Amino acid sequence: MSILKIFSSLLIFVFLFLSLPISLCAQEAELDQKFDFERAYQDYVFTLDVYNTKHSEYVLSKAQYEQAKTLVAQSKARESALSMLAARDDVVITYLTAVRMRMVEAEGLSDTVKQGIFSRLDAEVDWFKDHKARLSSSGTLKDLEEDSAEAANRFGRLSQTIAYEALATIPFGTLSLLRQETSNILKGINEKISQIRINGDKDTSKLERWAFEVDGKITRSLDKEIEAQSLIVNFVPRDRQGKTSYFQNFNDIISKLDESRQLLRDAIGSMKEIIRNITTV
Amino acid sequence: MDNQQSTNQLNQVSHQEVPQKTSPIILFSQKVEKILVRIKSIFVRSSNSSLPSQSQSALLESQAVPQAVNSSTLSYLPKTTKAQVPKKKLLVILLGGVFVIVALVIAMSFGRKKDKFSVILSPSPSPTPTPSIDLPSQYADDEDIRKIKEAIESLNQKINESDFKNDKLRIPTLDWEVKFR
Repeated sequence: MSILKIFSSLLIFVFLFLSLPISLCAQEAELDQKFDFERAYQDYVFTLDVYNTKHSEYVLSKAQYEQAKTLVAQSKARESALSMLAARDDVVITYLTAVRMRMVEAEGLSDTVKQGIFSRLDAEVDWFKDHKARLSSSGTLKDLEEDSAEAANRFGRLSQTIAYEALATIPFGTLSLLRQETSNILKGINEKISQIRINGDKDTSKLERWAFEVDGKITRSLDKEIEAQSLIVNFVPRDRQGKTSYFQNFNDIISKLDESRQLLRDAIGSMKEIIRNITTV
Repeated sequence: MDNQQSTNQLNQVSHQEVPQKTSPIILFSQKVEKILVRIKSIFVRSSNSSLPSQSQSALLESQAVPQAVNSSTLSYLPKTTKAQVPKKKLLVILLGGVFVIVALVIAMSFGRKKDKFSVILSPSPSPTPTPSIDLPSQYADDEDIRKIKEAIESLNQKINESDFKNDKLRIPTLDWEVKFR
């Protein structure tokens, strides 16, 4: 009897011992599965807050060092600068990750386009992770200055470029889907107009003309999108770019896409008018 | 002597002009002249002035015959010429106008007081344009049309909700200038 009790208690113990890691692994897997854009964005916001705090400390210690020029102040300035640079790298890493996750969730983009941008984003994330790891080896303030300049150069020349290019590419997928949907609705309307004409229920000449105009609006929307597409190539590394601003180029692309979207809105308005005409005498 | 000559000249002129002066303004001026002469005579009597006897006799004659008044004796009084008559009229008209304006102001002030206690009337109903009622066709309840309508509404909503700028993911502003002096 006692042997049976011991055996059963051992069995329960072994079961509990084994089930705990399994449940932890399952929770981790669940968390990994839930890592989406919102989660990535929250991480980015958090690291940005941390960076702001560290930056304030760095500014204060730097001012104290430049005023006092003591070894204690220098040590404190080095520590705060190191901490701030690490937080800055974290901000870049989480920011690029959030952009990547936004692109993962973007619809209407081909896998080829997505993979091309993912690989470049990943390369930038890896570079900043490596840079952050190398920071601790900086012994002097001069070393930290050089590390900072290196990161600044990388971000301004490449990371920023790919981030803007990704942000400008995402709306193309959305717009493409919207236009496809508009075309499908117009197709249904055209079929209905044909049916009405065959039945001879109504004079469809006006409706056909309106449907043709809607088709023209959809085509013009596509033209605007192609115009915007041609501006994507302007996102080149800064050393080859000249004076063109990334932000200005991004705004130009978004402006073209807005015009394209407005044409789709007009097309929807015209299609509503066609339906109203069909449903009334 | 000069006075007598001028009086005679005036008499001649007045006798020649009498048949022509038929307008009421001139008659009115003549009456005013008569009144003024009488006033003057009263003044002369009361002040017992040392006028020459010829002048006094001429004055008495002028009382009897108004046309024979010596114009020089009226120099201290306002002359009633043809040009001065409309001025008086104008004065009367101006006074009348002022009186009318004052009366209007008083009437308006009373009117405002009345407005304070007056009942605000509700606006009268105005004709509103009635929307044209379209009669439904045989396709009003068509299944395909209903689906197209739903698709249009859904698409419209998607277009309005689409965000092209991704403002949440703007490039972060970071301090890239780390330098110590």
